[in-house]
Amino acid sequence: MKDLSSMNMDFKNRVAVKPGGEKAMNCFLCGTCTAGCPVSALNSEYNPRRIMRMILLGMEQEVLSSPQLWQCSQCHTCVAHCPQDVRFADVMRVLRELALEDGIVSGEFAEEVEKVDREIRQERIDRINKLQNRE
Amino acid sequence: MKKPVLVLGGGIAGIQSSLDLAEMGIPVFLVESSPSIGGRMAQLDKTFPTNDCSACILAPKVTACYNHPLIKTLTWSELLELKGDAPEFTAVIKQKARFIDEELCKGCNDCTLECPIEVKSEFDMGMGTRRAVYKPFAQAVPNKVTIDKKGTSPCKYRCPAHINAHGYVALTGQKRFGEALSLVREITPLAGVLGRVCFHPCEEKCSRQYVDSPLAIASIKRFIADYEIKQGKAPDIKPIGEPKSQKVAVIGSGPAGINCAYQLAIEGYPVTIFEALPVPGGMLKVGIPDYRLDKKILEREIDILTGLGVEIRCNTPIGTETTLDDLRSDGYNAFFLGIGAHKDTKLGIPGEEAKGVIPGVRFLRELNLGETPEIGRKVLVIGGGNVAMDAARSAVRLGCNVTVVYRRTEQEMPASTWEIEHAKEEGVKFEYLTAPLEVISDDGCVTGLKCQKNALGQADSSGRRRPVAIKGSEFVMEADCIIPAIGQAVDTGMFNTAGGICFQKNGTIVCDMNKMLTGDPDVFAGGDAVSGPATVIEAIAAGNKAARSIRNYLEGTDLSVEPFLLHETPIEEISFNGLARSGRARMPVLSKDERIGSFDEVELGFDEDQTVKEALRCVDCSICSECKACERTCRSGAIRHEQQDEIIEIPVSSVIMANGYDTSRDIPEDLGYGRSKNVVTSMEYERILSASGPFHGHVQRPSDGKAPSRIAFIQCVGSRDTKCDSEYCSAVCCMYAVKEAIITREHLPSVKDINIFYMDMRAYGKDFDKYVDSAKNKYGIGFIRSRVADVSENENGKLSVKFCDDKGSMTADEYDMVVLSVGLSSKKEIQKFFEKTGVKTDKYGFCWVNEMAPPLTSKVGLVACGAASGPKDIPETVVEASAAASEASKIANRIDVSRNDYSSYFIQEEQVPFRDVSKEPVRIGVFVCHCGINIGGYLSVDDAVEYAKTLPFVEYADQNLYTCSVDAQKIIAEKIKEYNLNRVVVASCTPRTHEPLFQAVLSKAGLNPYLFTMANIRDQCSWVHMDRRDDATFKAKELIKMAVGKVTFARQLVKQKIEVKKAALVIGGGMAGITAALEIAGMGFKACLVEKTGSLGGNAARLSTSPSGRIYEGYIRKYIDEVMNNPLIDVYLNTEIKQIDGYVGKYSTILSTGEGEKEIAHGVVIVATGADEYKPKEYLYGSSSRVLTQMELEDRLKDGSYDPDGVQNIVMLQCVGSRDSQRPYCSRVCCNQAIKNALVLKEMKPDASITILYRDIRSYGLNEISYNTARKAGIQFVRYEPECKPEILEENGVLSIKTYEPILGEDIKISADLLILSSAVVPSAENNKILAQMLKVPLNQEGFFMEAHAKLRPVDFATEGVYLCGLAHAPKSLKESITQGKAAAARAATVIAKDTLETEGTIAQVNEMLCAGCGACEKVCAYKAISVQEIKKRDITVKKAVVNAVLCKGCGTCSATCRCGAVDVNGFTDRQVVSELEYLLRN
Repeated sequence: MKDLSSMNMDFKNRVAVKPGGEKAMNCFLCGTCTAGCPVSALNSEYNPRRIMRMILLGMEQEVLSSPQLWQCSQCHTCVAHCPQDVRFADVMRVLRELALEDGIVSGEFAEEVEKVDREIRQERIDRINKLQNRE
Repeated sequence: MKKPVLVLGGGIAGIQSSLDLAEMGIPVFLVESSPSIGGRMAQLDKTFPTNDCSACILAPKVTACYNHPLIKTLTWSELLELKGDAPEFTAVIKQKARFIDEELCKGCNDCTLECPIEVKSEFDMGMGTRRAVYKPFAQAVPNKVTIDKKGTSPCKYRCPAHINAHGYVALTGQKRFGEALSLVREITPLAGVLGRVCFHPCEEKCSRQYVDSPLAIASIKRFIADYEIKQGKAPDIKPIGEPKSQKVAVIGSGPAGINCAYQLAIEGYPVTIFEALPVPGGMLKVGIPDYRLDKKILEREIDILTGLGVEIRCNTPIGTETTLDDLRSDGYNAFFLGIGAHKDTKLGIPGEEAKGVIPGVRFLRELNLGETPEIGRKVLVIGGGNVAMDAARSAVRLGCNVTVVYRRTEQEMPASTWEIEHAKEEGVKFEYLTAPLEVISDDGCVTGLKCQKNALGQADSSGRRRPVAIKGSEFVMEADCIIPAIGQAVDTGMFNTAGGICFQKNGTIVCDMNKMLTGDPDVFAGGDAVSGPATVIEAIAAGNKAARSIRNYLEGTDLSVEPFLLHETPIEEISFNGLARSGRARMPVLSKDERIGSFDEVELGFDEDQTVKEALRCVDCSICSECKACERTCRSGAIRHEQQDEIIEIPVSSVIMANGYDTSRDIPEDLGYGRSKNVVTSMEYERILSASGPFHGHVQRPSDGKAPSRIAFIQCVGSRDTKCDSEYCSAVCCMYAVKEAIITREHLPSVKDINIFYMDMRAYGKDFDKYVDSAKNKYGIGFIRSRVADVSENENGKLSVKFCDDKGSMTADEYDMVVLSVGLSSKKEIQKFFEKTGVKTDKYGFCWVNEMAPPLTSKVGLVACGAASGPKDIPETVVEASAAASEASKIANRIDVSRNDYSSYFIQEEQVPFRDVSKEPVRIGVFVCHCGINIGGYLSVDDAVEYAKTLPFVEYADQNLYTCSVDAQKIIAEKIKEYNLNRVVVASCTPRTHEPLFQAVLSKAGLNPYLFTMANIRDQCSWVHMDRRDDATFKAKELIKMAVGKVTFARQLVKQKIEVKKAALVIGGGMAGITAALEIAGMGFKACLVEKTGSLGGNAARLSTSPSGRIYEGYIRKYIDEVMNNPLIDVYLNTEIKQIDGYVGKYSTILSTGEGEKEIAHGVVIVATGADEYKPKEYLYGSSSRVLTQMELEDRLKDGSYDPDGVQNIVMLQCVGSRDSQRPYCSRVCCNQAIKNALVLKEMKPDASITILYRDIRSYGLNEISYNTARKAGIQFVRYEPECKPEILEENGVLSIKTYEPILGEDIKISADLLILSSAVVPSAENNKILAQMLKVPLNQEGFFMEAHAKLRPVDFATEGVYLCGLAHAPKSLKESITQGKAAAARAATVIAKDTLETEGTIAQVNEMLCAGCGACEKVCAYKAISVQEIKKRDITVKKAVVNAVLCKGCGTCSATCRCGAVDVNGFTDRQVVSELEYLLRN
């Protein structure tokens, strides 16, 4: 059982003051973000709605140390779907910043993640080029 | 007469307001922008939560409204402007042209069957089609057609002669070639000619070009002209005007002359054409080669003229030998000069006079007159226009080697592109940038042409680049013949001597182009002679225009020559929806080889299939094509194509805005709407479900017509969505989706799954939760709490719906069909009016309404009801409509006006005296109804009618499409008179809705309305035996037979009149009761307000703020003071009702006050007894000081005893005592109250942590905005499941709540310094029960009072004269209670505004001879309407039963109980019932 009194009720405000996190409190937890999320489609553990729930309940430690934080591919599909303009992908960015700020992850780790993203994008370009050259 | 009220909008809101006002005696103008009244409700299939057929419950109200003598319904009308201030408003109303005469139209639909234009039906939400002339739906009121015109189609507008291209194309598309040709011939006889040679400017404007390419309009015209020839038919054209005496002379038989003569001959004028050449036809005959126009076609069309009696005199030049004066003395009264431009233009170079130089015009003329011009082998044609092409191509056909010499390049050539192409194909060579310098001849005969090469220089005034000679480039081209074709001119020689007529410098005739009038008042002119060389169609236009002027001249009239009443259809009005690209038809042509050496026509014309296909490509720019098929069909002559919009101004005292809503236009693209046919909106789905809809109620997929097996409903589409600019909740979607799901299951039991994807199930209305429960439990509807992200169609045609379930993972599920529950938006078209009139709206465009005084708006004298002021369901709309009527009535009642000022709108109906039929032999008329297909589709109405004719005493029997239509009603009245009928049977639907209607028909026809019986062959026959036609027909006959048996013994019954006590008793002194009393007094009647406690204000007095945060205190005080000080209101505090006696119009009530009993007299009763807050037994309520209810919190906030210090954690718990097994209803107010109070507390202490534990947040309608605000303010919302309710833990005096958090999937613990219980609204069941018994009205299971009908009679009781408002009815907000109080007052005023009331005729009657006075009847009567009394009979006192005519409802219980057979119910006497049975048993 989670005791909310041990949570940081101010966490959502901490998110909301950062650029990109301003609309976090608009969320009414409808789950459209998750329903359209391509990462969720592959990884059922990854659940944007749950992350929003945790933010709103002040579960700061749990959110910032969650490995799910780094799963977001920043495709912004959730932003396109969200009826309340929460901009979840941007919220994720804010959470990553906070995790760095709090020293929960190291700068090297964040850079590694950056690198993975870059490489995947490059890989995509290369493979598509290959596919087209074959035809 | 009271000053009328204007009601804007003919939906259910407008209808209810109008009816209420009219029943109060206040005249109403009901203005509706669509062609019929009924609004959205008419489109719905069923209504929740009773599953009544929407159209069926609405129809009687619609008819009653339309037929009410004090309601003037203006359909197809718009309120443009409201001038002045209340009560001196002037409404400026545009009555849009309907293009029919409303008086004459019978609504028979004959015209709609003939109309060739098919467009998507707005009523069927585009799922079905309608015609350009249409009724929105079968039962539309008024039963009149409307012609949909968006203007004049661009093709017709562009045609110089305004030939109705759209019209003949549309008719051609229906293979109605003869009609199409007739349409062309309204303008010109030259259809075949134009089909071949016209340069068709219409096609330049054809809107199809924006889809792919323009229609081949001219070729379609050619086909219809040729089709007549192929069919071997002769043109059938006769003069339509009376034969006239004034003779007209037409000089010249070219297209201008032909048309002028044609139009005049049709009008009946004797016309003679004088032609200088040996043959008629002008340039058509001598200028156009045969390979472009077969001259037989021309001759045939000229024969039309002679057929009309036109005399054509050839070889008769006018001018020099015979002058106009000669003709004048021969008795010609007017002249038309259509002499053309036959003179050639000289080259102006040396050697031009040599033999072998033949001007193009002459060359073609000689050729066409059958001569063979000598041109040798090598031919040079000089020029680049169409005449040059004609000459060149003709010369090719004579076997010559032809070169066209042109001084610029191909780009600058004025000839048509296709003509140049054809010429090239046929072997004509082109020498561009070549200018002739000199004709070289030998012995006077041409041998060559000296030329010079040109280069292109600067552009000249024509925009073409000017040729500039290149020095030293001279060369010689060999030639046997040179044909210059560089221009034509008018041969002015003939008339130069005649005087009067003047010519321009260029040789054309000087003419007033508006009238085509020359300097002589009797001489008109047109064609090439006026315009210079131009086109055939322009000549035709000029000829027609001149004909009209000549007519004006001869008749001395001044009719406009302008042919258009309507502007050209603007492109934005044209619908290109759903058009697939399709290529323009290709014209078949002679092969190249066949063309050389032959003058046969090159273009062969389309075949029939090609033509029809081409015609069907038409976009129908202006909807109506003005083909006038409707006009030809209409037997009552009701079509008026020339009708214009009309602007009227009406003085009114106030205005009720009942303008309704639009369905949301913002549908997120990802939901697949528009991409997949099987994704439909809920309104479209209503039409799919409706028996009168495009699929006749069969649930099927639009894509393939197959029954779907899995259907998904997606909620909140265009609602609760900041992206769609509809942050608000649309208030009705949850319930209508549940309804549609249930109805789907009923219509299509085979459907496997129906799932509703939702966020919060907002079943906040009376009995709504029960309805949702039955959907879940009885109908197996699935409810999935998730907002869908995406719908996409798979290759197999299934729809993949992506959502996220509670477990959290993303799921994709396949469905056959998806229904989007689209929201409600403000009406777009009304915004301008709001702005112009200075009416405040919210940011969504809904009319702003004063929260404390609904439905008043920001403008005095203007009230709003229904969806005009925000999304809401039907009952609330009806309540608001009545409330609006109350407000309007308060204004109107103060002002008397003269009936004469409104005499064209309100006719005082005369009471027809009833004919006494008691001595007449029985003569029965039977009217059998088709009810569209409702009856006629499932049984043989013909058979039923024939059978009825064979029954005893039946004098007349016939059938109607809709017997209830205004039109059929007239027929019944006519037949009653014609056949002297004295009994009437209607075999149709149910007497419940329609009997009063038909009885009124009898009354108007002078028959006692009780000489009538209905046979229900729809609900009880066709509907239940849909698949057994023969059996259904048999049963219908039997039912009709029984009705005839019954009506045979019908008697003339008399209604009694009772006087009305013009005062109201209002029970309950809460805000609903206070409002009702104030309204009653405001309308000028007395009210008695009874309150059992010592103070007024009820629950409202305890509330601190309104949902929008306004402090209530002052407002409520003000209302209470007003009541206390109003001289028309008697207030009784600490008073209870002891006894109520009497009936509607005449009540007598004993009050027990603190000072004893008091008796009061009144005509109506309003029940406003309120309800209380539930005192919880759970959640430590009462045992912990930290646990409060919301109302207790309000108390503390109000008296200032709430101390925010030390209250850090606040938890609000929703649904305490609501939505459980004991009280299975939603208390409606708690979510909004919790949100409101949470925001108040948050403002007091911004760092407080506030959590609301909820099941569904029911911030319905515009309340959603507060929910959004609360979240943004940091208030936490945590959902709990009813299966695992939150638990309260108290440890060391500290409260905390344990609850299961469904998204986290685990328990959480929330500490609470204060726990606020959102406790249920509960009726005071015991008190209600006592009152209900006294008033003889019902309560529902929960102990709330039960209204007469959940949808349409929300403040009425089934018992007349008793009305209901406030919490006594069901939980509701203060604003809603106030509105309902006003509504109840309005309904009550419909009774007490009258001086007398009429009783029913069908009541019990006692035969004293048979009555034994046993009293059995008295015991069973539920209405206390029959009692045994002592009666003196010849000095003996006997006991007999006596009936109270006003109380008796005619239920018949007494009659059934009476052992002596002494009690009979009039209209249902034993004799009648026995006769019914005898007829049934008889063969």
